[in-house]
Amino acid sequence: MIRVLIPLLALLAACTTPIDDEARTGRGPITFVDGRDTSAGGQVAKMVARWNESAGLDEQVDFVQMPSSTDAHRAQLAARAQDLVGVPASPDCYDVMAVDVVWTAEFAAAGHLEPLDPDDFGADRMLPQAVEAAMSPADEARSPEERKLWAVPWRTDTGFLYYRKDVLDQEGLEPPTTWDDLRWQATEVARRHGLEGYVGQFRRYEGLIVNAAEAIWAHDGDLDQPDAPGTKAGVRALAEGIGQGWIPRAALDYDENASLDEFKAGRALFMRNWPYAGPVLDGTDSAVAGRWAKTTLPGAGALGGWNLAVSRCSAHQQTAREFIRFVVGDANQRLMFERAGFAPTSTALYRDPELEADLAPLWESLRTARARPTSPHYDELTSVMQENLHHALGKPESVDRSLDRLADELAKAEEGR
Amino acid sequence: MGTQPPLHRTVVVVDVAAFGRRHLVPQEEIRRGLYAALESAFEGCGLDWSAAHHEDRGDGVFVLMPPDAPKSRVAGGLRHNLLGELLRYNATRNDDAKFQLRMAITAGEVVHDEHGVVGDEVTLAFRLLDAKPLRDALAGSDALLALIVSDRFYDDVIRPDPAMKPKSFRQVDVDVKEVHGHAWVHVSDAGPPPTANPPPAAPADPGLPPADPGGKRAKPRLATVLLAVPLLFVAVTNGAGAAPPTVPPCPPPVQLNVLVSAEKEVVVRRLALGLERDLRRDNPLGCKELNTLVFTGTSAQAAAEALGGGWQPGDLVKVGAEPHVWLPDTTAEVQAVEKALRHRDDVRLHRRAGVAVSPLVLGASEESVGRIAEPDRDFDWRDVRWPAEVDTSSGVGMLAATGLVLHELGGLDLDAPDVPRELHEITGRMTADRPCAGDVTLIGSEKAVAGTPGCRVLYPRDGALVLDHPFVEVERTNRKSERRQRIMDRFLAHLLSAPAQEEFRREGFRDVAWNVGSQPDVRSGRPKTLQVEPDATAVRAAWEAASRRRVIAVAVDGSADARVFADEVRRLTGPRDELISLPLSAGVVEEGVERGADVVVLASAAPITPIAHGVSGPIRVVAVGLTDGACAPSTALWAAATAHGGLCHEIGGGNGNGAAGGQERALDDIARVAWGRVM
Repeated sequence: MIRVLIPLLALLAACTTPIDDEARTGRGPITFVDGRDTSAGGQVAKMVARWNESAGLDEQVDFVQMPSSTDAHRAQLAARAQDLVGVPASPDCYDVMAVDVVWTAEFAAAGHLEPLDPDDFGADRMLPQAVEAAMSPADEARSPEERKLWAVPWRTDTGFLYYRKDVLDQEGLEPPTTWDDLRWQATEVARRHGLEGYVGQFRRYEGLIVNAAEAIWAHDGDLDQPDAPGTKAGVRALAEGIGQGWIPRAALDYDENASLDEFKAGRALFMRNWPYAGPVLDGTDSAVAGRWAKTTLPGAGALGGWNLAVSRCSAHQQTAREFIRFVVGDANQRLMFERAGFAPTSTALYRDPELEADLAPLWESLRTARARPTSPHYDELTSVMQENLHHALGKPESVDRSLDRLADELAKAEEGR
Repeated sequence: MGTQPPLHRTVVVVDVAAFGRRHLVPQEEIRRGLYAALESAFEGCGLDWSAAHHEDRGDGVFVLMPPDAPKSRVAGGLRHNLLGELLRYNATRNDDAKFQLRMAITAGEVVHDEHGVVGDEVTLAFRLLDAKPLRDALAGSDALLALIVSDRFYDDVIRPDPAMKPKSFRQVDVDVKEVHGHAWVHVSDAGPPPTANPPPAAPADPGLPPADPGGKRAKPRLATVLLAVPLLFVAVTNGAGAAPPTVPPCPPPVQLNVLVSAEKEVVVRRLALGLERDLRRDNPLGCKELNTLVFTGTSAQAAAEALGGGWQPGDLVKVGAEPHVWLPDTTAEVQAVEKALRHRDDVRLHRRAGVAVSPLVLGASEESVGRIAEPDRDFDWRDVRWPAEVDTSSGVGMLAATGLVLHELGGLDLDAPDVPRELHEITGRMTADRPCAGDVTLIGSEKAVAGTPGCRVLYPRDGALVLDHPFVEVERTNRKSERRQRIMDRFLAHLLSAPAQEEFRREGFRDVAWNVGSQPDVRSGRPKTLQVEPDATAVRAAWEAASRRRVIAVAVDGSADARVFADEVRRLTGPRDELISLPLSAGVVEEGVERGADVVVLASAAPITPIAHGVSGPIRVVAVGLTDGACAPSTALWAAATAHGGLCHEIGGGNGNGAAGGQERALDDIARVAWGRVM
């Protein structure tokens, strides 16, 4: 074993090579990677095109889309970053990476990211909880000065409850504000209209953690206390929903897009999804255009979102930083909100008279939104949680046992072991 | 939750010098000798070997002393006794089984619970054991035991106790991995320590280079500059003064992306998780070493196409993350990708070994077994009349199609002129009905068929095609990772290990030695097999093309011969296809386009008026002239066919092979145009 470990650590030591200033101040073509561009009309690609129109030929940005499953997305970023440790100026480097808020600490701890100057990006004008989530965890730093900004909050996310307004209006009902209401409407009203009750993201991936967290929080539990009564109640509510059928069993295999497809096709009464779903539901291929509305979830939503980070392997970090400034600037954040439904991280936009009304529901949700745990070992935490939660959702009778086991396994995972 | 508070413990690590360079037999002898020596040495100085936590390291042993074990006894008595045991052992062995031992001792806060052992001092001990001065102390020397202790251990335990002979230790510079500073080395059963790095006359004065007994000033070196700082251990450091926010005690786990066939997805995912667990358990720091992503891609065919093209950025969205390991169903798929990669130098495949086996078999309902198979449950392919639909996008489906093609064509020459017609006939027989009910059969892997309700497993009499489940490394020549390479080797070894092979058997596969699990209906011996190497790409393309739904428009004149020919064309079409009749007018081709036809067949005994070109969409035209000279280049039939990518066939008494031969050629050609591979 030691023969494995030593070279392994030797490689790790290789990432401690001081970065030459040339890379830090380097300008040149860069690669920008983000998740699959599912926004209506491919707005991310259009934004990159806007940069490329105004940038010089030698500072063009190549936009590469990652797999739509976030696990595969993370795996691709991690593997590529590991491959390029110690490889100077590789054209394969993903210079600017969109990283999920929950990966930021892990990628930083692994040495894959360059620290950024908060003033350089106007971090003080951004949503404080989003900036907080992009910094070194406070409890792991020896002093406040030691905390670094590892990525710039680009779009923040929190869940909404999308519902069929036409159906609820016809029934003379308001959208549900509690889980009990939701369960009742998703059971009775949906049945009357031949619809599935509630679709969310319950496949075994990160989305499951988000959906489970929201149900758990609504029942006064918490993710880091899997064996607490509230936590079990939240998970049980979902498991029973699947058992009783108001959450279709097929949703155990849904990610964001699969659940969106169901709702968009007019087959479901309620859907939990991110803000980006809005413009898609009004798209030309939507069967529910003009017939849906959204409201806050019955309970706290999970704070999601994507940060932009500069890769350590980048040889053109100056261009990379400028591109990030371009993306997170108010002008682009405004456009991306209007056209793609990306919730801005710039607080000014929430006070902007033109956007205020549109952003009000989001602001309402963001005020109560809660973050998932921040940890350099988040990947391990989440994989342990996914395994146990997915098992529990498929088998309501196993909820207690699964969550007790999860409590044990989480303790280990928190150490990255 | 569940973690014990740290306790102050003494950490001992020993390692056999140059162990890996020895042959297997002495290695085993040495390992036995090492353990015997350690146990005796422990007992000899009143330490309880069974109370100490010890872990096998292959070429060494890691020992965590009980909290109450006196440090001086570990550093003194144990060292002394161990040397005695080594002398005794080596005195009775041949040269190749003799060994020298390196030993490192540290002490500090260590967490030891059911999850493993964690602590900076544990890591430090391993680092010191690897330090060059310690290795040098044994290299080329007769000494049997070299000990290294941390600076702090020396200060706390050795220096204050004359019985420890503190002067027999020399201070050395250590610069290994994250450890920069000094430590102390003691060499037993040797003369004075080697003079390569002479000991300082007195403990080093912080800030000053060590005195040189020769009177000359030592050259300033990095290590001497670092003497000012105490022995420093940092798990993760970071250049440019930008320490990451967290200093995790564990390095980031290696990311390994495993592209697997749908057939093996479940078992491989489970085994990959098992390897993650094993590696963590065996890691001296209890660190997670591996992160696997096990995924199928959209289909085996999509995966093969992406691999063959070097996994371009667009494939990330279409298929998934770049794979490092590929576990398809068959080697035929690998060969097809290798062929596609021939002209690329950025991606290379390395076929390692098969990890499981499954023969291609036939599933039949209980009631139909008697009709299809002999009592010995062997079947002939010609008796496979109503197979359930074959999806060639999977490796299994590709091989199933190969089996059918092989029987029907008597070979795998997919370029022969009659192939599209034959294949279309086969694919037309496929049914979407439930397999293994009534006469519907299922062609699939033994694993899948045995696991399908209602299916009895039948074996082909002339030998089964085999799914050999190869393990393939995907090398990217410009991005090699040694860490990942080691993990891949380990992954393969893991899949071939006895427990994993057992797991494959439990899932319905055969292990690599063809042993079966406990499926009731499966033949326990190795069935007769057939060695063929189909071109997976060609089989898929031919099968897909032959399965296409086609709309065939037929326009004939009023002659009896033409009407007979039209009936023959009708017989070509399968249940999914559509045949429409059009008047043989000047606008017939354009009308065909408008009615959604893929092919227009013109058949006439008399010369026809010129046909206008189909302009609003792609369409193919095959013409048949029923009199001699009807397809001369001056004719309208000839012109219509050649203008639309087809041929004109003369079927008449004057033809070489007679009317029948000409008719067959014409029908083959129509089938080729409608259902042939796009070359």
